[in-house]
Amino acid sequence: MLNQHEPDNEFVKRLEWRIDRELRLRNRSFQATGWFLRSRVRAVLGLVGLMALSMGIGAAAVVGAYQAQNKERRAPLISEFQQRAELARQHLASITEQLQRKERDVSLGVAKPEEMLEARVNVAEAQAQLRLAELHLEEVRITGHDPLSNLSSPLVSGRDFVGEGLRIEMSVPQAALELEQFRLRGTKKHIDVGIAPPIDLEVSRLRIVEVEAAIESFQKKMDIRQSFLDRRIDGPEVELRVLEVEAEQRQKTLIPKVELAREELEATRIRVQAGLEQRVHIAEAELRLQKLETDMAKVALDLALVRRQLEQLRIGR
Amino acid sequence: MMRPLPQEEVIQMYHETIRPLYAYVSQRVGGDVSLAEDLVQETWMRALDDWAKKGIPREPLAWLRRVARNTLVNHFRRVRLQPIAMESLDIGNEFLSTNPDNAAAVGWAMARLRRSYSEILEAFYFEGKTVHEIAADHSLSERAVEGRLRRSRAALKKKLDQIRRKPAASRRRNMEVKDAKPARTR
Repeated sequence: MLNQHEPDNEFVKRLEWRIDRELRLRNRSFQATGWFLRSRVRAVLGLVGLMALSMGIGAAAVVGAYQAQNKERRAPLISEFQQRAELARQHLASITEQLQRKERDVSLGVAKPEEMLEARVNVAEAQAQLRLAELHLEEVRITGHDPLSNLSSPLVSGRDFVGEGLRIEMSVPQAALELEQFRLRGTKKHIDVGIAPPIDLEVSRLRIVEVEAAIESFQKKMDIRQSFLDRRIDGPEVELRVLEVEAEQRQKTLIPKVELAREELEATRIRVQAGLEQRVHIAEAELRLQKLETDMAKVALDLALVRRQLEQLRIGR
Repeated sequence: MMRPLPQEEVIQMYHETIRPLYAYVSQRVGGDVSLAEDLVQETWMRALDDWAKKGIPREPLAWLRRVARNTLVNHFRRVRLQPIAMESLDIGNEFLSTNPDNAAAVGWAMARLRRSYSEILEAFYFEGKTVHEIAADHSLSERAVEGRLRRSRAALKKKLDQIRRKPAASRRRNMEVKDAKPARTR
């Protein structure tokens, strides 16, 4: 006989399935916005930042554990978030210095304007990290708990910390849009003078679509948040709407990728027929296309499931 | 910033923590299966949100329990209870009650206590810690813990009194007094 406080096996399996699905959805969404750390320089910076952050969190956790033994819980939590803010401040200072160097190099003609724009995006990202860290610190000071992150979280002392966080996070893709538009103009020029293949233009457009989809997704999430605060929708509907928005975002970024993969396959076939490439390249291009089409089918399924749940929610009311 | 979560690691963690987490919640809702399942699911969804932003905590079960506790408090702060019959109140028994109504009453009252009171009651009754252990955890003397436990119990009783149905005899007396009033004025 089962212990009264033992979970039902059916429930354990059902929840596992849901967690697995959520992880798949979220991780795919992360990959779709993977433009974030594309360049090598940014990847290295990201890694350094991550290491610093991990060390900081580790240190904060040790300090936190020590203080928790002594007194209340609020103090160590505040201390941890203060350290995170301090780390973000130091990171921003170093990134700003790099931007200033890059601006000087561009004015001297020893660096490309694109590199300066990249440095500006890095600064925007570091600024957003700092503002988020400060926002979390303010929230922790008020509540004494970890900051809330769900769109269906309540206001804290009349203040919408979740909405403010979304606005801050949106500032990063907004800054990246300027860079991608600049890259697109550059690619057009290169194609016009014949030093770049036309497919480069599609790649540049694809990046813009990704950034615009990320911005649109943030805007929709802010609308959902506002609807929740105005009590037009409830918590379960908020969660489903967020899943819908994220699936739509992935769909938007996948459509041009599939188109691009089709064009690449066609171009590869022509080159193979002309004897410029080997047949193995056709197989590679076909595989790329099939993978993307499978991703599209998965997103369509996720979207259909979420929309069906939303419909059931409406009928159930 | 969002980061991808390692799928296999999280699922493995889920298997390791689901039973103790469920037991933690179920005990606090008097074995109400659907409520316990809802709250455990909500806790895990919060975990996925939070871990994607801040990374997986060092002690996932402790983290999940803390969030489950907050989720329980939020739940009990939202619910409106009907008056319930708890004729002779024995705080110790009510905590370990297998009757969901009594457990809900305790949860409702606990959610309305100050944090220091609810924490000490939880540690003593749900976690079965001794006064000595609680004193060590909170860097307090055993005497101070005993005093705080006494005050916590009194505060809990006071809250529970707000939702306890009055015994049938006293209700009858009240009704009789009400019925008698017009006769006296006449």
